[in-house]
Amino acid sequence: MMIRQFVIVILTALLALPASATRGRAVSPVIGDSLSIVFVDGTAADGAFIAAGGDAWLDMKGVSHNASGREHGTHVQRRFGVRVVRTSGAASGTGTVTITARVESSDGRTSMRLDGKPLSEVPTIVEAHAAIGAVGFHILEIEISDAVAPGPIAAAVSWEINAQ
Amino acid sequence: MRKVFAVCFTVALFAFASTASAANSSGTLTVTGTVESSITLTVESAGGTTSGTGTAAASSDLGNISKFGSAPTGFTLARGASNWTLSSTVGVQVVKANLTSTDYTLTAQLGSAPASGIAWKLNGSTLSDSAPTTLTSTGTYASTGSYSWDIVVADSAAAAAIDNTINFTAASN
Repeated sequence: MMIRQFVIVILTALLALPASATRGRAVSPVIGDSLSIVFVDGTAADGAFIAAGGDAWLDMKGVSHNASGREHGTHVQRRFGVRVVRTSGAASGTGTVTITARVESSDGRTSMRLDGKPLSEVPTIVEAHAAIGAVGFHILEIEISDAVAPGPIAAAVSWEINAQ
Repeated sequence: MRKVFAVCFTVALFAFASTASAANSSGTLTVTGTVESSITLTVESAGGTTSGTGTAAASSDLGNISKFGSAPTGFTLARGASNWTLSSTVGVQVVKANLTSTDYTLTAQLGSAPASGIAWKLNGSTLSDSAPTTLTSTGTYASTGSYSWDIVVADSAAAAAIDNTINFTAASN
């Protein structure tokens, strides 16, 4: 009797689960859909910005301390956009996602701020409710200490989207 | 029966956890560049009614000057037998960034030939418009160097404007 009850309950639960998951998707279309990040160049500023799908490359080229500036360190900032799209090609405009960013790698010669917030290896929320399909613009500030020796610099910022 | 519900609950929890896990994706923004060495020079102070101090292009207005008149703001006036001298100082600061150099050489040169009977001196050396004059070859970065500034006017000089420009140049050693 107990075994029979057990089997019935388990089967009922298993049968019911896909249905509840389907309902969940219907309410929040993001879940289960395939999303990706697309970088969009902002305004003309320092350096070249090359976007290739979910990856982008900001080459600041040669940077030196602003001759007329009295502040310490060299500051470079770049405005660019981030858009979350459905890779399935489905119509955008439904659902929101959370976008986070973190320092993926750094040679330690720069410090970076995104929209005024310091970036570190711990993910920072860039947009808590980014609408899918919409472009959100952000400003990345790169600071180089006066004490840093001349030469190349390299860093990478990892961006992640999490469907809500 | 209690065990049955416990098992079911556990199964359901796993199932919901799996269902509710959010879709996610990622992208990478790579930042590259090349840091270049640089130095910057600013005029921090000067006699006269100054403007633009703290920048690389300062101006100093001495107004009307004469041997038997008052000294301009920030200057002293010394009268000699056949000339008179206005004396003050000029403060120049050189700051470095991303540079291993420990000191710098500072030179000065007039922007145009001085009027007849007028001599411009910095640190006791007479400036010309044809060649730079070295003020220091061991300048300390981020420290304002003060250089004596004299304008010697001969009694024979014509009454006219003495306008000129002193061009400072700093070079890292």
